[in-house]
Amino acid sequence: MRVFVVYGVLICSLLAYANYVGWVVGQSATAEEWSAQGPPEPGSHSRLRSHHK
Amino acid sequence: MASFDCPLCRGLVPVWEPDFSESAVCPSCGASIDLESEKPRAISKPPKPFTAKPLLPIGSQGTLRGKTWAVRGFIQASDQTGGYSWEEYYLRGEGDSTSWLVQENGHWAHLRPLPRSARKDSGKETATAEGKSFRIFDLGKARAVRAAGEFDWRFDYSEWTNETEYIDPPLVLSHESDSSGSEWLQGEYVDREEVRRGFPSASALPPVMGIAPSQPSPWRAALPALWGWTGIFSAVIVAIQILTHATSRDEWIFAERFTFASTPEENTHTLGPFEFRGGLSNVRLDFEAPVDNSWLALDVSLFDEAAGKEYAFDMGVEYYSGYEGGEYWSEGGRNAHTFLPSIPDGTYKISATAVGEPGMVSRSYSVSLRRDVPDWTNLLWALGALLLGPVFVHWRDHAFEVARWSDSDFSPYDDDDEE
Repeated sequence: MRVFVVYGVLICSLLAYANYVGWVVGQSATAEEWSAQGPPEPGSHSRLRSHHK
Repeated sequence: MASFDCPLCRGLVPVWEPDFSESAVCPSCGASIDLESEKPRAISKPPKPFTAKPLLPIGSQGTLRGKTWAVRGFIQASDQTGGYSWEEYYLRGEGDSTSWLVQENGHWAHLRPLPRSARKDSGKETATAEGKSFRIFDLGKARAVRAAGEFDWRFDYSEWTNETEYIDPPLVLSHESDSSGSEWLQGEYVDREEVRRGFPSASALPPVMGIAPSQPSPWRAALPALWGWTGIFSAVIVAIQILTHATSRDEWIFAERFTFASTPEENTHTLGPFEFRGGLSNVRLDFEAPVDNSWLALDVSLFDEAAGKEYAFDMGVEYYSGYEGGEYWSEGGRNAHTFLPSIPDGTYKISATAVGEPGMVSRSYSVSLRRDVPDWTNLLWALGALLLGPVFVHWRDHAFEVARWSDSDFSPYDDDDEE
């Protein structure tokens, strides 16, 4: 039972943290982040492109 | 206490309660001896010569569930095949009370005669005793192969007893009948440790093997508390989610409609700057395009020039439909949205480049951005993850019951086994 109580506390903590930072399960983009590289050229981020067909 | 000479081997036969007991077993040759006749007379000899070694010594005393019991008799019984055997300890308590402590494969059960008769439910594999329903587990014939001590009936090795065992763990109900009559006994599973503590003079108790018919499922015992905690955590999860919705700003940043053009340069749009204030939060980007048997993708960059930060990702919509084999079909959708979590405060611009299927022209699409947007999805995942606990325990409990009933010809899980 102790294991389940710890498990429940963990789930509640994860939910509270995910909601705090705005992370949504299954719907959050895996964004790439760059710092201090200056503003991107328009369209230069196409390195992320992984088009469907 | 009294004693007499065995009529067969002349060995000394002690009798602890000569006024109560009707028969006794010679510790030397194992013969059962009638104490009711004028002088002790042999009733029967054991099927095979033996030396009885009861785990609970005859004459010793012990305590079970707050009551003191004296060990008066011991029977090792076996079924017709000889494949199953078990031990029964005949106990005498205060007044004229009697009971049985039964040991099989290291498991123990304590049974007492029912003051009122139980009944077999007609047409069903159940019996009812004192308002409780029991399910049949086993039936067969049994007889004693070894014995020791004394009994308040005429103990006879040659007597076969018809036994029917019903269970409602941890309770057990037993119906026994032989040529002298029938009797109902009801009992309860007793933990091995409880027997060891209650009968300190017992020799080393055998280790527990397998699952006993009346052994309570440890998984089932955990379920009430488990569901209680599940309810508590579910309430906390719902409260967290309601609080999240109540405190989220759900702030609109922009909503724009564009037209897909033929050159990449014309399909790149930079919007902003937008001020993000109020602390760490997510942004939600919605993308809608009326694609039909085609696709449209969007490369997005959210960047804060002053802080030198950029968040880049892509998303897309695709929709295909047709008529095939007499049926209409469709797949995909014309709307998509995605969340970017953990976006700090800052002054942001957003650059979005649309990429479409070669040859696609003049297709309009819309893009909108919101900030600090709550979503119910996390609630569903959290509740789902929480329910894994009770689901796991129910599954283990089911496996426990299937294993318990695997030794029975009356298993309600036979269909499961065949699957």
